[in-house]
Amino acid sequence: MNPNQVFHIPGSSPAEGESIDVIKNPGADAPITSIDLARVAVDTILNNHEYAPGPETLHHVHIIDMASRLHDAHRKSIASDVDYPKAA
Amino acid sequence: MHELFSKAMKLLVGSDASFQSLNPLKSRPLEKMTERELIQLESQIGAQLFGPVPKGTRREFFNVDAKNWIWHEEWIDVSGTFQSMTTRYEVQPQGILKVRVGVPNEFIEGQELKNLSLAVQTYYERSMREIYKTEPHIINPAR
Repeated sequence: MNPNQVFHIPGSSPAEGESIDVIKNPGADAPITSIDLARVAVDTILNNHEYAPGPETLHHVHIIDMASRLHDAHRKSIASDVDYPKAA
Repeated sequence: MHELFSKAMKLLVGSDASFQSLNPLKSRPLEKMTERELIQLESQIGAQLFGPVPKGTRREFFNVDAKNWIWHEEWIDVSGTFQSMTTRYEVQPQGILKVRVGVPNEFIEGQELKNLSLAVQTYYERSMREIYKTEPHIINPAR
C-alpha cells in the first residue's frame, strides 16, 4: 500500500469489511477497507517494535536522556510544590 | 499520551499567568516558585534556541519532566487564520519518539535528532547557569 495515498472516510465508521470511499487513490485496484487500515496500524506498531537505532543515534538518545533526567531532578529539588529532596 | 498533551497545554496557556508577564518572576526567589513557574522561566531560554522567532509567531520549547520535551508554535497564516502546532518528544531507551496529534508517531533520526540533542544540552546548560545559578554536569565531553 502506498503510504502517500489520501483516503476519505465519510461520516460514521464502516462496518467490518465494508468498503470505504476513496477520493484520491491513484493506482489502487480495489477500494480500501477497514481491514486494510487495521493492517497499516499493525505494521506501524511492528515497525516501531523492530526499530533498531545505530550507534550515533543511541549516542544522542543517551545525551538527551541524561540531560532530561538531570534537569528534571534539579528543578524538582528547587520547586516549592514538589515533594523531592531539596538542593542544599 | 492525551494526559501529557493536556499537561503541556496547561503549561503553555495556563490560567493564572501568561508568558508575557513572566519577567517579574525573575525577581522572586526560585525556592518560592512552583514547578510550573520554573518551567515557564526556562521556556524563555528554550524559545531562543532555534534561531530568531518570526514576527507574529510565538514559540515555546521546554522540558516537561524526565522523559518529555515540548515544542509549541503559534502563528497567523497568510489568510489571517490562527495556526498552532505542538510536538512532544518522548525519551525512550531505543530512541526519541516524536508525537503530534493526527500524525503517526515516529522515532527521529539524522539532523533532526542532532538538532534536538544540541537544543536539549544548551537548554540544560543555560538554565542551570542563568536561572539556577549553578554549574551543569558535563554530559557530552566531546562538545
